[in-house]
Amino acid sequence: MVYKTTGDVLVSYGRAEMVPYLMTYQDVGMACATGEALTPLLLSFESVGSDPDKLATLVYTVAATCTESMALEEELRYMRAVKEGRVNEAQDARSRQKELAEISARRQYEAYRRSFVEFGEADNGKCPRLRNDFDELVWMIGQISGVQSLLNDATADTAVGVPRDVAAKVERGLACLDNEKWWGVPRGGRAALWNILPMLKPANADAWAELERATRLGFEQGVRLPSALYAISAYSVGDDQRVRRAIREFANNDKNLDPNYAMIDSIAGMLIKGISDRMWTEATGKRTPYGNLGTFWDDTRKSSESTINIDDLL
Amino acid sequence: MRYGKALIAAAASSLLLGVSAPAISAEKRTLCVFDIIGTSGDMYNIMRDYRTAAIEQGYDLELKAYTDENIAAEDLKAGQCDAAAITGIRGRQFNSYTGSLDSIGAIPNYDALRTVVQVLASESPRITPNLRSGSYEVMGIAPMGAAYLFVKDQAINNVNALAGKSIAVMEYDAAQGKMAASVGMSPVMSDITNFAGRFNNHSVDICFAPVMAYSALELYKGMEPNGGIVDYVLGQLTLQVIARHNKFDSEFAAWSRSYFFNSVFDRAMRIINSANNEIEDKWWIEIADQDKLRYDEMMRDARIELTEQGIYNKDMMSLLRNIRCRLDAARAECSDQRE
Repeated sequence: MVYKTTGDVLVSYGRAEMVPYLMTYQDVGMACATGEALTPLLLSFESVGSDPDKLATLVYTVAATCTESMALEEELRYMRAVKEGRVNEAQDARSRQKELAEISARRQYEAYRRSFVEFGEADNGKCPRLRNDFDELVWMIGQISGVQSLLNDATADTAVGVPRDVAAKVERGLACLDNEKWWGVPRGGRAALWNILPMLKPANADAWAELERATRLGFEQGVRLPSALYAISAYSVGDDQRVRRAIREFANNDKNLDPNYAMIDSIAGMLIKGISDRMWTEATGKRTPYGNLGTFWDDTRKSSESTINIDDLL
Repeated sequence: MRYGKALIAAAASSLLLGVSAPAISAEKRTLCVFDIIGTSGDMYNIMRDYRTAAIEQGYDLELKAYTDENIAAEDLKAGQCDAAAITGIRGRQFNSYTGSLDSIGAIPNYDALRTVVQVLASESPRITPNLRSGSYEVMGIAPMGAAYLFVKDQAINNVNALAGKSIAVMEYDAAQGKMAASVGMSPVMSDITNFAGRFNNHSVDICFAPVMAYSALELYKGMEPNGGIVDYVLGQLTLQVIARHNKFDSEFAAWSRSYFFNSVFDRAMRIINSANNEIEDKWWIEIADQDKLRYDEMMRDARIELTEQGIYNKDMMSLLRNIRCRLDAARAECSDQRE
């Protein structure tokens, strides 16, 4: 009884105070540690009757950022090793990347699963009842985690067995949110899915135009998650020009960010940096040089040397 | 002086380290990989490991993801890709021998498929020459799953019931349309982006699809409430690495084929099995043994006809028949030599 009361207080405190507070942080590492440390504590109250499903979606999602960033390091190590012909190290890094991708997929799928346990699935034009901003945020994050779990499971040779219809379900699930209110993520996310699964695309829809619009909306409102979705989508289909443009624009639009959702913007930043690091490493063997996000190794520098005649200076 | 010695020792050891771990200089080549979801997909993921293993064999393959298989095939022709990983059906234009692996009803189960891939990777002088055709050479074969008929009504459980029904077929595979027409179905030309939609909104009665499509394309929607999957393997989809012959040496091609059999086959089977596990048992439509025999017979007649028309390769048809009969000598076809 005391335990249940404690659980209820914790769940309600988490939702009313901790989540909004954490959202103002820019420090993704802190969110990762919070997720890994608090998830078992929070969910243990389930066995005494509390209902932490909504919070579970959020804490599992941030816990997955830990393994996501570790997996990225392994992927970069793999790329460097391949580039230098060190096959054993490359294979070792790939194995470790897959182990971490499997853990990410498990965490993200659990985040997604909790969201539909709580709200139900969106189908046949029906949407779950989302009562307030918090519900909408949980729903949105749950949907995005669903897609990420599918992609990480593919890296892990489908060890988790994330159902493949998650992509189609998320495409419908995101349609249940107000696009303007959530920085363009709902339509941007759907359009990103149309690019990788063209059979989900409604007739006459233009995925890139949608992603473009969503990206603008994100910049205007100061949460740049749609820009990251754009870059991920372009990177998946190997569209180098679009990826570069997305990364440059992300880097150039770092003013007027919404302090209430700094965490979401930082996670978007982590995703963008991850793509930039992969591209840099593939091309040069090194990640994006510090402070140089938005630039590429083969950029032609605007040089002033050619216009200066040294003789004139002497 | 002491420091001087230490410096020399350090310089010497770094030199030694440099010598003991030389970077392998591998020839650069481009491998274009068809994966419907691009760099995040299962096939691309498998190819990344292939790339790593290939470095030890002297080739550094730059991977390029293609979500449109046709463009990958065209880029292979145009020399933009030194090799391409595409489906067997699409690869038929480069090699009719391995391009006939997906012929209808010719590989009834995964054991048979494993034997086929093993034989093709055996480097036997009676097999390997067939893997080369014109400027192209097949350097690896991986399973992509068995294909079945998905029907919107369980009553479509025997050959006679197929007549008069509409079926979505892939327009780039001539065999599908001909086969459908031969049993009285009306083929509706479709492509990968629209066949599932047509089946799911019931504008066609039947579609022909691999197990992987069941969940990803939500084919259960088209089967609800009374449909199912006819439990008869209509064919095996494969992924094949087709290379420009003059871009790789023959040792590498042989190594690559054995890598696909030894390392890729089981991994790809795990992915297929996980897709299979997503299919609820209630959807499988058992068919009677005598109907199975009729299907076998019908598929055989169709293959013989399509071989005569030049769509399937005669040598491959005879190899597949021998493999089927080796695994199950009781099959009716094993007492004659029509294929």
